[in-house]
Amino acid sequence: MSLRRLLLIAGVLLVATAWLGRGDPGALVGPSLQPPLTPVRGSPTTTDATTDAAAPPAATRRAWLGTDPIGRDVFVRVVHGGRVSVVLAATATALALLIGVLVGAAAGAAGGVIDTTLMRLSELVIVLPALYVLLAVRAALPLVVSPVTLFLVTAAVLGAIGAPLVARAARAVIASERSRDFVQAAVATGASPWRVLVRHLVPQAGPVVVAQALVLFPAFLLAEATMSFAGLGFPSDNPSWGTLLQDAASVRALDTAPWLLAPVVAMAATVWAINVAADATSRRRS
Amino acid sequence: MTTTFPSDTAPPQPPLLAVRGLDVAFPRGAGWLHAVRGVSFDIHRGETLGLVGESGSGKSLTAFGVIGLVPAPGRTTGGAVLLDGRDLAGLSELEWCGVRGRRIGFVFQEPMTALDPVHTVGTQIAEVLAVHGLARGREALERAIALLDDVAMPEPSLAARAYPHQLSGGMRQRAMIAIALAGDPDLLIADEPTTALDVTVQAQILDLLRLLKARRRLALLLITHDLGVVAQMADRVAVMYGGRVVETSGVRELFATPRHPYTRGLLESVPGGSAGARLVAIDGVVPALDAMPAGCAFTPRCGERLARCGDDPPPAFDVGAAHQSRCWLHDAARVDRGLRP
Ligand SMILES: Nc1ncnc2c1ncn2[C@@H]1O[C@H](COP(=O)(O)OP(=O)(O)OP(=O)(O)O)[C@@H](O)[C@H]1O
Ligand code: SF4
Ligand SMILES: [Mg+2]
Repeated sequence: MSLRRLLLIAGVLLVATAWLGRGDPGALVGPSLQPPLTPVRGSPTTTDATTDAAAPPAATRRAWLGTDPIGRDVFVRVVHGGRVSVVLAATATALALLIGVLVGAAAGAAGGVIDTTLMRLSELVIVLPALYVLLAVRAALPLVVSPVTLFLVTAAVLGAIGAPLVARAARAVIASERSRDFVQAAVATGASPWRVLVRHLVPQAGPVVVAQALVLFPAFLLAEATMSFAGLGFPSDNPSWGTLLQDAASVRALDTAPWLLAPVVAMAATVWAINVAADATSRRRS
Repeated sequence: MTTTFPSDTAPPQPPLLAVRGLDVAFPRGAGWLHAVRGVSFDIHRGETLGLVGESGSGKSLTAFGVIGLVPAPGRTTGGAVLLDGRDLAGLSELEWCGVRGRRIGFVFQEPMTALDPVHTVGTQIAEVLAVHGLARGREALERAIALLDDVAMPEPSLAARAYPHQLSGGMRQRAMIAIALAGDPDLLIADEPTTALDVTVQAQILDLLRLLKARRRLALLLITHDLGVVAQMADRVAVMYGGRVVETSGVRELFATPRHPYTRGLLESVPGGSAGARLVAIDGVVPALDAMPAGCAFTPRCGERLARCGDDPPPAFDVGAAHQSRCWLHDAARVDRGLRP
């Protein structure tokens, strides 16, 4: 539920930003987006010189979701942008989980000074304002960097920022489960301390780690979108969803071409789908 | 006080397990609170020793002391645990891994909490086989199913795929026993293995333990506070009170001629020493560790106490063939002078 709230905030934030950029509330009741279910054909960068930039066409037979002011197919661009956005957020989440579980397990299993040190460090990172760290790191890079470099740097920064949350949650579980009977029972069967940690303690952290992932993923999706929306992210010829929104902000999108906001819907749908999947998995396991 | 008692049922060979003066303590302030004090007993191959006593008498800590798993901050502060004559005290953590599970299996009281909730029963048994290099992969899983069959688990191949919470209490305890037996140990320690179970299931688990013991020539250290269980299962009995073994004897002799006042109290409190009785019928409770008398721990509750009992800990007196009792009443000097309390 905290996730649903997060999602709502993310969606509202994006719509609000796009609206503030070109604001015209009247357009919110414009023509609805048509759900295309065709395979993606065409290129996200092909332009069409005949397009009327002031009034780009809405859904046509060729462009299911209409085009942008220079004639690029919005649907194709959303799908391509999703590749960047979703994979980036997923990569950063996976990185955060990996580092987080490792650090959390080390802290929870070692206890003492190691535990205290790792947890203080984590708290230090947790109190950093994540988005500003990302923007600061981006600002430290040259203005134009290759999309691949940008992808990797962004994923690394987001992963490192998210990891302490996971570490703290995993540590809490591991430290408390350590005194449970089944841990002593495993030791009594001859399991080594390492095996007890890997096979019996870390798996107990599964549910809280999944919960953390469900918080981090949308946050990362939003962080990248914000970065690209601010013009510090992916370029227009290799767009992420954030880039598309940035593009949309430079025309009177809500007024003339509301379909340019399709990435917002795509983001919300992605997060929702992941939650449904996670729910179904946890229900099936219990 | 470290005399061994050859069992009247076992052949004359060195004991499988010899516990000598085992001491377990918890730190308190600058010193230690001793929860297990100078406990000694032997278990021979194929023999069952019943370790019986009220709650808090130190039975579980004795068992944990034997496998080197006294819960922190407690620790073993003295004595020796000899397995086939070899002292386990100096073992490295790695060497312990070869003893636990492989030489000594451990069955916990509460199978629900002693089984890992996130792994299936089959996986947990297979893991023990893998730990000891006995089997891995598919073969380990097949052997896990065979072990479940050995412990008379209904539908063993289904049970192997079940998570602990999907099984009944009795099935869980069978799974726990299968885990304890997976390493093919010589000694099984069962700490109140039936206390958490329904009465009918208790009887089934005890039958199973008896069967397995005979089939595998297991030695069994059976911890219980149920004299009925002792009467059914044990060859020898060690009665614990206040961290000490106060009386030890063959099971028949103990029930026929108990010598220690505490044991006598226990047996009198149980009509006919019958099954199912719990050790609660003596007035008073076991003193807390920090209120333990310097002498005999039973002094505050003993109807026959002597002047010296509260201050001098009684040694173990031989009171019969392989029968010892830790009570000043047996002091020959005192008996000779005709000083009955
Ligand atoms: N972690 C601990 N810290 C301090 N004292 C402890 C701890 N664990 C056990 N004790 C004390 O040691 C004594 C013996 O405990 P133990 O668990 O061995 O008793 P037991 O005979 O197994 O009793 P039960 O029948 O209740 O299982 C008790 O007085 C208990 O209070
Ligand atoms: S030593 Fe004394 S107090 Fe202890 S059991 Fe014997 S008579 Fe009772
Ligand atoms: Mg106990």
